[in-house]
Parts: sequence; C-alpha cells; structure tokens
Amino acid sequence: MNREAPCRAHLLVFCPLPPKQNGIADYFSEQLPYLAERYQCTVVLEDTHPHPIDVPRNVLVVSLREYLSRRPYYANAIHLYHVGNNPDTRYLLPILLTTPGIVVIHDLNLHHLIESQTSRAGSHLSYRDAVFQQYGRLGAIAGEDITDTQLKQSLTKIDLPFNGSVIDSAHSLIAHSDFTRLQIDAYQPGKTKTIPHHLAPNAPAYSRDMSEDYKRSLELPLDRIIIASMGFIAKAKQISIVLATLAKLKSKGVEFVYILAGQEKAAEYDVSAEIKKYDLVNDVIVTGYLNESLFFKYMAASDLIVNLRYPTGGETSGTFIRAMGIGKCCIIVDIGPFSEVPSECAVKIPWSEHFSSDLENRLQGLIADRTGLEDIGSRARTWILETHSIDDTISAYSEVIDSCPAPGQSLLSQSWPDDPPLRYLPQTRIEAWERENYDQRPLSPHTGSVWWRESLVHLAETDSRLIVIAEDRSPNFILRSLYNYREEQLAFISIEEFVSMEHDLEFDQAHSILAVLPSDIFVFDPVEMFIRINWLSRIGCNVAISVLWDTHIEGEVALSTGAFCEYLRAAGLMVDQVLDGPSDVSFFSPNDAETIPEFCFTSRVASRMSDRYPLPYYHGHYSEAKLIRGGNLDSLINLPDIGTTIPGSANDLR
Amino acid sequence: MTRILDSLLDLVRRARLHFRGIEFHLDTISANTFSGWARNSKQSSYRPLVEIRAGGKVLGYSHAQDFREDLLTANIGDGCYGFTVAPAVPLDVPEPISVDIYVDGLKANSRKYAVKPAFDSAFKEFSDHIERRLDGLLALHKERSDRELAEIRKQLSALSAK
Repeated sequence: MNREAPCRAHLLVFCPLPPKQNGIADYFSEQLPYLAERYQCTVVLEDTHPHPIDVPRNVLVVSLREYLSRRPYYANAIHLYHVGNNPDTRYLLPILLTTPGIVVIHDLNLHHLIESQTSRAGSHLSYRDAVFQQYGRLGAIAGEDITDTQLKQSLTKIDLPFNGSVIDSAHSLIAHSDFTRLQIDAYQPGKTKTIPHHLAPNAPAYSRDMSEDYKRSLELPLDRIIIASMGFIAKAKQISIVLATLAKLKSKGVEFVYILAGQEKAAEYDVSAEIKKYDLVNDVIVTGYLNESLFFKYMAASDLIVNLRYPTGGETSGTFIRAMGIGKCCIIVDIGPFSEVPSECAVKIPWSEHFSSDLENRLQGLIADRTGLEDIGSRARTWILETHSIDDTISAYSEVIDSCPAPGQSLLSQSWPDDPPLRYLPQTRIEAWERENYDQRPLSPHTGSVWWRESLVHLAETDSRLIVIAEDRSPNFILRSLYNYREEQLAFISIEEFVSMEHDLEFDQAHSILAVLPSDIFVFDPVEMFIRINWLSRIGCNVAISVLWDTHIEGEVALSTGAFCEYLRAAGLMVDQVLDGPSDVSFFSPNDAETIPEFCFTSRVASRMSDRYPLPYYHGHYSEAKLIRGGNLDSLINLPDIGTTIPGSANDLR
Repeated sequence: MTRILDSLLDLVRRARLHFRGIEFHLDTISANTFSGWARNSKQSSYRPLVEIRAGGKVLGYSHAQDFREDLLTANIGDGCYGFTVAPAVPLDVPEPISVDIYVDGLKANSRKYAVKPAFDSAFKEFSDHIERRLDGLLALHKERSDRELAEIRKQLSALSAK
C-alpha cells in the first residue's frame, strides 16, 4: 500500500479529539495519523476543547476562534466535518452550513445536535425556525411540544432527524453504512459514498487467544461465561432487556458474569436499580469509564458481546466493529446498519414482540455451544479484516477528498454575506411620486395598489432581480418609475404560464418575487399555487403577494385571510405581514386598480416541505407532506442575462 | 315571604333595565355558551356589554354586536346586537357554579344559571392537539418512506439495467 500522496493538499478537519469522551473523537484520533501521511492536516477544535492528546507531530491544531480570525488563509483548504448527534460537534455547524465541504455523517438522526444548538441554548425561536425550515408546517406542529411545553418527546425526536440542512450544505458526504447512504440518497441522490467504519489499528493486538490471560489479570472467573456490553450504558442499548433475560437464565441454573464496560448515564437510565431489581448484584460488574487499554482487555476477556441498539439513529457502532475485529461473537438487533453484517458473522435478532424470548433462547444456545460461538467470532474477524481495514478506508477517504474542491475566496465571500440590507421606500416618497405621476396615467386593473403604496417591495440594487407574476406587465411601470428597477432586472411570468407550470423543470432560484394574482386561481387549490412560488424561489426569498379579490367567487375551500396564511405556511412560506386594501381611494383618480379589494401578504420562503392538505381544506382530512423540488423556467420566464447569476442552485434540492 | 321579596327584587331589576332602555333576550345555553341579543333602544348604534358573573367575578364577556338577520327582519335596529359568551369556568371547581348575566352592569336574568367546568372542551382541545401532531408525524413519515422506496426502485432498476 503506497501511502505517499502525489501532492499534499491542505485538509482542514472539524472534529473533537481525545480526551473528549466520545466515539467520534476516538474514530478520528485513530484515523488522523493515516490522513496526515497523505495531506497537510489542520484540526479545528471548539474553543473550550481540552488540550488534545496523541496528536501526530505533523498535524496542526487550531481553535475555532483562530480559524475564524484567519478564514481567508484557509480558503484553499478542503473542509472536512465530522458530524454526530451530540453537542461536541455543534461548534462546527455554523461553518458547515455556510462553507461547503465533506461531511462524515456519524449519525443520521441529528435532532439532539440541532436542539442543543437552538432550544437547549435558550433560543426556542431558533428551534421553531429550524423545524419549520426542515419539515414545514407539519414539522412545526409535530415539534411544538418541545418549544411550547418543553416536553421531551422521544417519538418526535426519532421522527424528525433534522439532517436536511447538513445534507444541503455538504459538497459530498461519507456514510458508514448503505442504510445511511440510501436515506441520504432519497433526499439528495449521488452525493454520498459508503466507507465502512474502520477497525481500530491497535485492535488486532488484543488477541482472542489471550482471553484467559486477560480474565486472570482482570480477576474474572475462568469457570463462568463472560458476557459483556461495551461503551456508554444508555437506554437505547436495551440493557434492561438483557438484565431481565439473564435473570431468567440464572433461575434456570446458568452461571455467567455480565460486564457493563462503560460509563453510566444515570440521568437517562438507572442501571444500578435495575441490577438490584433482577437480583443480579453478584453477577454483574459495572466498570465505569475505561481507558482504551482496559476497554480492549475487557473486550478480549469476554466470551460473548451483547451489542443491542434500538431504536437506531443510523449510527455504526465502533465498539461492535472492534469486537468483531478481535474475533468475538456478538449479539445484535437486526436493524439499520447492523442488518448489513453477514448473518454468519454475528447473531442477529429481529426486533419484535418476541425479542426478549428470542434473546433468551439465543443466549442459552450460545452459552451451551462454545465451539459455535467461537466459529461465529472467527468468521466475524475474517470479514472485518477483509472489508474494514484502515488502509482501505483511508484510500476511499482520499478518493472523496481529492474530488472535493476547496471553498475558495469566492465561496467564502458568499458564505459570509456582506450584502447590504434591503432598502424600502419611505411613505413620503411614495406619496410624492403619486402626486406627480400616478394620477396622470391610468393603470390596468391588474396592477394592484397595496403592494406599492405600502412599500412591500424593496428598492432595486445594482444586481437585483425580481420575478413579477401578474396578469400583464402593468406592475413594471411602478417598479421602474418608483422602485428604480431597470426593465432588464424584471422577469415576467404571466398568470397563464404560472398556472400551467410543470414540476420537472430546472430553474435559477429568485431572491425576490412580486405576485399580483387574481383570486379565481385560488378557488380549487391555493396551496398548489403557493408551492409554485416556493418552487421559483431560493430559501430566504422575499415574496410579496397581492391577491386581487373578486367578491363573487366561491371557493371549494376556505378563502379567508386566516386560511390564506395557513396555505402559505403549508407551502413552506413564513408570513411576515398581512394587509388588506385598497389602502387609499381617490375619487378623482382615473385608476380602476385602486377600487378592487385586495389582500396582501409579505412572506419569506423558509421551507421546502409542503403540506398538500392543510386543515382549512377539509376538516378531518389527513395531511400529506411533499418535498418541493425545483424546475427550469428558462422557457417560461423572460429574464435577460445581465452578467450575474442568482446565487443558490437547483442542485441544493435535487 | 321570601317569594314575595324575590318578586319585588325582580320587579326592581326589570324597572332598572327598562329605564335604561335595555332590551335583552337569552336564546340558548349550550355547553356553557350563552347566546342571545341585547340592545339599548334609546341608542340604536350603541352595543351593550354582556357579562357572565359568578359572585363578583367576571367569567366571560362580550359586546352585543354580532349581526343577526332575524333581528333585522324583525325591525330591531340594524340587527347588530347578537352576542355569544363562553364563560371560563375554572377546571378545579368540582360542582356546577351559579352565574348571572349582566348587561352594561345591570343584572338581566331573573333566575340563576348553573355552569360546569368545560372538561369536555378541554379534552377535545387536547385530543385535537394530539391528533394534529400525529397526523403531521404520519404525513412526514409517509413522505420519507415514499422517497426512500422511490430511491430503492431507482437503484434496483439501475442494477437490473447493468
């Protein structure tokens, strides 16, 4: 294996390191010497991170503050982020979400991480925004317990994995299992590569053949089977079921020692109380946190590893890989990434109502059949050595790293926007313009009046582009004359084109939209109409919608302003203002436009998730969530090329 | 004796309402909601304040200003004198409590009405909330499953094409 890299590109890695007690830090620490042979590595740590240990000499370690103060210097470094569902990786989120790079996704479910960055950090509003952005109106309803009542609903956390913004922001992703890759591909295909979790390089040193020596050194009995569960004692590891099963086996006369080799999480799960409850005080050893050497010794001394995880957040267990790598027979739940292990290399038990009795039967069988147990361990070791060697995984990493561009100066300037704030016209200017111009020139009744009278559209800047959706081009006159837009800055979509748009085209997403819409297009499906606006927009797009009301229309669905606000939210738009009009009527005006009743909404496109059947549609009808994907409107909109493109790409959504 | 005293007090109550020009009618009481109409015949554009009181405590109020076609048809002013008041009965009150109706500060009912804590509506609200939340979660679940199924199909057809 040739580890010499053709050129040493600069690799900037955001990841905690030991002595932080978490699996991602251990994983990266094992990998870092190998990466440092191929790349010029710099590790960026949280400002409050303890002094890292065992860092190779050729690796530079900087704090987040140092990185931020010298950001342009790192513009040509490839950014690599290790993201897991724990607060130790939250410091890298602001960088990850603004600077594209490679994301190693250790957990598919990132709810706890996002929560720790928002509501747990005291900002319930940020959490609410985050949940709306990711899951739209339905997610906001589902997640409101956490924001409103502080109720911790594990159901909600499992169902809202919150990984979309991380996937959106990444240039490419690395997953440890096909299970995780498939779920990311279903959201954004083609961005993710599966690279198996490596076997720790020092694991093979702890040979299964030395099992008895380790038992002696750890003062464990030689005449009883040693069963172990390794790592943090967390609820999801289903230790409770294992203890209940072992209690049953004990009552049948089976002798064993059960080792819980890891740190307790007393706030989450009181294991000591459970051990007493099942009368297993003399049969169970709880070691507490172990250093790496002791951790491996306990693992090597064990005859059987019980490594249950239910439910799964899509994580791959490093402990499980290590245990198989040193030839141990493992019992696992047949779920998620664990299902990908060949059946002959581990004992896989499906999660069902019979799980407890299935576990009891399998445990009893394995305890009675030591040879069979060792055979499974041997096959597991062979499989892991063949498929999970660190040399192979580092080569696979290199392929991803070498194909990822550095962010570069342009992306950095884009990721930290220095755009001036949008400017809006003061009322006095609008009134002055009206006195001078407006009454002199009759306007089409399709122009609307509230949107421009109430200054709902921002003033044109040099590179502004505004999509105008209207019956005719009459709003353009006001946009040019009053709001300083040039004709080439205005893209026009007629109502006819708007209602007949198809959803499988590509487009450049807009920063700003003005939609002056007749009310009759909302009679059957208002959400669908607003989804089209979302489809035209980039996230954060300012949308001013003016609905010209025909008082004679009758909707198939509710058409009140309150219902419209729900429809906008259902289409992923966050409503800022609701106004109705006409706001001023001049009896001497030649304009019909100002006599038409009008509802105006200003909103921001905040989510790509839509709800096709919100409550005002049909009471009792079930909701239907759909991800909004973009299209190409080149053939539809008349948008001349003025030399700049609208940032934000359709690729973000595909 | 008590009955005679009650009748006298009721007469005084009616007289006070009459002298102030207040006309009042209670149409329905259902599920702790009081609906009816009230107006001041001396000021047709005035909308009286209707309060539901238990002892000295106001449990709910509303201005009698809702439009009712039946009032307009009956030539009662502009018809905008309807009211609906749902008194907020504390949930920790074990027994029904007696309430009175006041119009512009004057007692308008001759006999007391009993209202109970609105457990039903509280539970309805709670069950609606749970239903909405589960509906949202199920919809998001289904969306994700559909997407994953489509991706699996795509990958399988790509494999079979090879």
